[in-house]
Amino acid sequence: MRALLITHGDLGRSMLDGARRIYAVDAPIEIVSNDEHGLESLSAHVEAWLSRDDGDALMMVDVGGGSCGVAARLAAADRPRTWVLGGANLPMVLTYLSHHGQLGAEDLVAKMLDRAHNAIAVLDATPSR
Amino acid sequence: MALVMARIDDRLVHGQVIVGCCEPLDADRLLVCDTTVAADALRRSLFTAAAPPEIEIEFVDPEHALDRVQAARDDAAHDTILLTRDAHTMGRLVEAGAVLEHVVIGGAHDGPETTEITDGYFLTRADRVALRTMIGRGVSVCFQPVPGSPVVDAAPILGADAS
Repeated sequence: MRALLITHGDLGRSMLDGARRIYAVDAPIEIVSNDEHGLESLSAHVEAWLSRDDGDALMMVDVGGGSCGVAARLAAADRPRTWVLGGANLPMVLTYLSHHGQLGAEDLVAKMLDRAHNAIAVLDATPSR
Repeated sequence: MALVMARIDDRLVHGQVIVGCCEPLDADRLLVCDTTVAADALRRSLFTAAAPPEIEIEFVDPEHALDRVQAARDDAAHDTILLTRDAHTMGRLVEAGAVLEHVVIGGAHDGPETTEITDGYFLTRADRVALRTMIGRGVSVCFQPVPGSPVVDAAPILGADAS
């Protein structure tokens, strides 16, 4: 399943660069920044990406309620087999890189969400002394 | 309690507005004045979902917005941010009689027939004309992404004079 990482500023490029330093593998993932895009322009860009192929498509956005999330959902509205995931983080992207060729779309999405959620945690907390 | 901001932003409801504007201004209401969104249930639902539940959103077609803007000015119970996607639409409201002392251009990205006016802000000829007209009517216009960030006065950049 191909993927598009849609983020504010250079976050997507940096996240993908960081993920590839951890898991160096070719994957059909592209990035787009909302820099220099209004909502309709960004949505049109995403729609063009979606229209390149009829297969399953996955979009990861950093903030679901931001222009990235709204644009992705607008573009995906009438397209079957399309997933839009909010809260993109490095574990989510890493899981995509490491499992995109092994799992079907539903299982891949479930694993990505699971890894992304589990990464958000209090790892340590020092009680007051 | 009033209309706390009139903002031009081609992304309409998004993070800069919800977090960057509503929070510092204590705004609890958005008045989105846009022909496309007012007529599109999907866009309305996505924008509504983008805002936290404590922020109320009203969508209105610019043709019918004048009384809603006035109502927002007079509303003692809410602090409202007025949003349009372009300067031309905001200008139509002013021409129709909306009383706006200050208009902020928060987001205007590159698009068809736009020219970069100042760093990162792109306007069409119609937008520039609308802004000059607004300034001529005494409306203060500036470029500012969010409250607290640097303010750039639009008048000298647009070659406009206040009346």
